[in-house]
Amino acid sequence: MVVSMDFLRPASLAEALELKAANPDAVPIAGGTDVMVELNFDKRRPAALLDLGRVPELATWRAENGRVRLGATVPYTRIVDELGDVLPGLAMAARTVGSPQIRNRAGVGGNLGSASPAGDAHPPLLATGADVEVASTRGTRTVPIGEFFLGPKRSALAADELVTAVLVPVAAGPQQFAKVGTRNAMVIAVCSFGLALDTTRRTVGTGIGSAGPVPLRAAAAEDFAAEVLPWDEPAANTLTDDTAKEFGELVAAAARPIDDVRGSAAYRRHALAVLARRTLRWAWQDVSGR
Amino acid sequence: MTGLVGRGVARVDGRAKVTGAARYAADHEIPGMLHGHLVLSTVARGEITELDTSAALALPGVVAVLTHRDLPPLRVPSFPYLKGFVPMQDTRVHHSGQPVAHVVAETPEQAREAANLVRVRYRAERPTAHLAHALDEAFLPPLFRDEPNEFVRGDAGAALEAAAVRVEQDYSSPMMHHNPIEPHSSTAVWDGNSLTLYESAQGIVFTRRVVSIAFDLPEANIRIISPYLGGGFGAKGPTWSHTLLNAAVAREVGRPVRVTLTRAQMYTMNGHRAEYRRNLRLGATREGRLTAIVDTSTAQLTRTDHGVYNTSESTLRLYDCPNVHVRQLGVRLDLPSSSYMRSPETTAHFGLETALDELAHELGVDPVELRIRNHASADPHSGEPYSSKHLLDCYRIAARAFGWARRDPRPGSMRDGNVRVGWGMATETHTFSAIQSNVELTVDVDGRATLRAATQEIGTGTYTVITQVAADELGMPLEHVTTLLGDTAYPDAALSAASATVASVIGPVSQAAQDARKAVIALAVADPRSPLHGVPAEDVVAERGYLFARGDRGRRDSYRGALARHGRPVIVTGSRLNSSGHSYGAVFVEVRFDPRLATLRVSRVVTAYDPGRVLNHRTAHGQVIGGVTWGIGFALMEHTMVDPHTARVVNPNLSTYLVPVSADTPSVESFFVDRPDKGSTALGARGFGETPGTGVPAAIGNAIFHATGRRLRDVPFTRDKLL
Ligand SMILES: Cc1cc2nc3c(=O)[nH]c(=O)nc-3n(C[C@H](O)[C@H](O)[C@H](O)COP(=O)(O)OP(=O)(O)OC[C@H]3O[C@@H](n4cnc5c(N)ncnc54)[C@H](O)[C@@H]3O)c2cc1C
Repeated sequence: MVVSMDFLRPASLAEALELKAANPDAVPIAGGTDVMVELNFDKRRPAALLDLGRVPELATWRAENGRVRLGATVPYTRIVDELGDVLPGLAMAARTVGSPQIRNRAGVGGNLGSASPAGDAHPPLLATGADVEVASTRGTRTVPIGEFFLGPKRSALAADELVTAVLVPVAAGPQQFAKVGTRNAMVIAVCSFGLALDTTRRTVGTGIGSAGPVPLRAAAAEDFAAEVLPWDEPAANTLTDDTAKEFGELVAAAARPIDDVRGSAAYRRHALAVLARRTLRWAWQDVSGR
Repeated sequence: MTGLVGRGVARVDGRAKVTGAARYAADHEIPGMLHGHLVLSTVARGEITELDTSAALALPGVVAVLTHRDLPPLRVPSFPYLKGFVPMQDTRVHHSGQPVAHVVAETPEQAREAANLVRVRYRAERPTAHLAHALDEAFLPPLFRDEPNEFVRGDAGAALEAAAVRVEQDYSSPMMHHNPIEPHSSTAVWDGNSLTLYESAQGIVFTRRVVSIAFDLPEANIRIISPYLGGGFGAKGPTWSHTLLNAAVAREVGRPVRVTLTRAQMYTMNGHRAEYRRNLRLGATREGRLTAIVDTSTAQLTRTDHGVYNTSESTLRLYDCPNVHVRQLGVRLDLPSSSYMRSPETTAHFGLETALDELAHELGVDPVELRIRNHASADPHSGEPYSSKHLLDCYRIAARAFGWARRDPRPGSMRDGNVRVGWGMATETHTFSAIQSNVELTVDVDGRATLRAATQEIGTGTYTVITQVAADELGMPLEHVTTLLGDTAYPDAALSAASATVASVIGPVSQAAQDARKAVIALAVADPRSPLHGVPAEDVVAERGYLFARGDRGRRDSYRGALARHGRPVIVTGSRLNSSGHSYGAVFVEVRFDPRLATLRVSRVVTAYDPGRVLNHRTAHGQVIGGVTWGIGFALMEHTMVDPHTARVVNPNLSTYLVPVSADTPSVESFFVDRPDKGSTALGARGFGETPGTGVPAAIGNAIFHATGRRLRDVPFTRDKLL
């Protein structure tokens, strides 16, 4: 058996989509920080790799209609450097990914492509109600982030489709992200939590990572907080302990964690409640500081 | 003497390393070389019943697939070959991940792919993988390297009975792996009956001995080359079976062959820190004077060897306790051989330093004060006085720098908002060895010096410190001295393990450099063409490559001038055996614990040491940073998980075998007493590398107790144990 692999290098998005349509088994490679691990561990042997590194359309971001259209291959380093003001939750999450080397290569398109429940970009995307833009030679469609994840490492992406961008609403209030790991960096989350407050519409968004088969929202917690937060008197001391506690419990209740090597289900629930309480306090402090 | 010794000069090999010029074991290009890949057993105990290599052989590029059916008999070497058998000599399987076939191909990728295609069937037997499943089989192993596993001083049983205060507890730690960043690599090049090995070896002279026994070849026919190592931590100290098998295979196929282990293979091919349990019973007076220590440990052994590598040295020798009974038991399991892993004495020392903290708490005595009260001013086991020991200074220096006096001893008493703060400390100590070492120093006709020794650079700064000492004694600038290591063509010298390198090698280096200086001065003063002609040799000083008459600096010659006139190099040798001993220190640790998330951070580490004379403050501090980082890993993360049913390692990679990253490691302060040990022939320096870190796991556990009131005795202290 001779082992060989085609390396397809499109120079434009149109060419990339054509190649993907013609080679639905070709594995897209962006930063390669997940793909190369799988190849090195011989977990898969695709017949072809589709290199997205030379597709200019995927490597830029721009503001458009109150949202940021963030190209699939914009690396985390640039998200941290350039989008901290408009997408603070995603930038905070990006800062916790891997190491500087990983953040220089990897981006949100690959995180979504892998669709791991532990992907750190997912909670802020859920909390802000982002859309995923996907394209094929058949056309372009947007998938609400809540419908993108179908199961562990499974997504709504069809075989001929690529993620082209995420459309993330510009922050309309404080955002937070918090993650617990088995060490302080270079670590897959034991659990993580993203929070986005919209002080204009008076809504609360949540995203739970690494505590279920897919990244989750805590809808009951969102509704509860939107209703009871004292939006009219945003001072640090107006967020009561009871509100924070109830919010934390509702977030924990929304999780569907399992026991694994990184942590037990019970710990994950417990920690999520703490992270949710804390991030709500931090965010509320920011509201009052504005 | 130009004041170079002690200075924190930068690594002389730093540039080569950061530019990629340094050649590591797998970097040497050998014409005609083939690549090997090992096939490892997938069962832990049993017999090979079928071995089908046809699919592998059919793959393009594959030259041979060798198994026990093809290899010539190899003799089982003695120490430092640690396994009780050589694999691929018969059908028996002793552990999961044991070599059963060796594939040789034109490229590494072809060899690896073919290795996947070798079909092996086994008659598997049920393995035992954990101490807990065979504790009733614990036994006192026979002598290992001439050392017993039982030590008795006084009558510990009776003293314990009579003690006013007693602490009895169990302490334990899991299997751990060295994980140097450079994987093991061996390249065998045969020329008739002579063998050259490009090797990742911490002890090239030892490797030569092992290979000589296995192949029944004279040592003179074997050359081992290992100029740089990407870390070893003990994993490359012993010689492991891949080296022997690869050399045998290279001989069979008649071409040079290289084998490089994969990261996963490094979890079964090259030793590990044994799973370990320990029962400790301390007896003491109400004032905290130790009267008895009964120390019974149980370590994992195999069915084919019985080396206990994590000895209770500190129980025996650290504190002044008249009655001690140490027993180092073992249990035979179906796992690969364990071995020495960085600071092996840490394994036992963790329990002792934790138990002392428990005793201090029970008595209401400050933990530092308790250690001072039990300080040994002569070796408690042999009764011999120390040639020098400044441990009490270490406690004082580190405690003051840390601010220990401000510690409120009540557990849970120190807080920072929601965060609980804990302060803990421990004594640090490790044995160092001394190994007969020889060097050769050449002052060439250009007036520059080259030093050769068959020791090696494990990454700690050996090239640098040797160069410093030689340049200092010669009176030359650092750049005029080149040190060549890692080749058995040079004079035999120490292995880079057991904290032995500096202690063993520096004596001969300084002796050779002195002799070379004297020889060149003698040439100059005897030479009518030299400005120094006729000056008494003892009145000539050497500085920066020049030779001056003392008191009349106008009369000046140089190494370059003297050697040019001489017309041929001056060659001298140095040879010395130092004595072994212990280095001491103290470590103080602050932890910050978030009780809601059970997250723990080591936020501050302050240390002080007595390693005798410090030869290079920068490399010594580097050892402290490394040791403390290892201690943090030992305490909080490192854990090789073994499946109890299959006896297989389930986390053989660096994404699931966690070690600390920068974000887990605070900056580490280190202080040195820096007074020469007059008993050391290495310019007063002692072996030091493995001392830092030995106390860190206990200090962290003691700090956790101080922060939370919870006493943890089983590492790693993961979140589930803290919640
Ligand atoms: C050392 C290390 C540390 C890490 N730490 C973290 C961490 O802290 N948090 C975290 O979330 N992740 C972490 N990761 C995982 C990884 O870095 C992230 O998932 C990253 O976002 C992947 O991005 P990438 O560009 O490298 O993707 P790639 O590896 O190139 O691709 C990942 C997957 O997505 C597919 N894909 C890529 N781009 C597209 C596209 N445009 N359309 C469709 N499919 C696509 C690929 O085919 C592949 O299946 C770590 C990885 C490593 C090696």
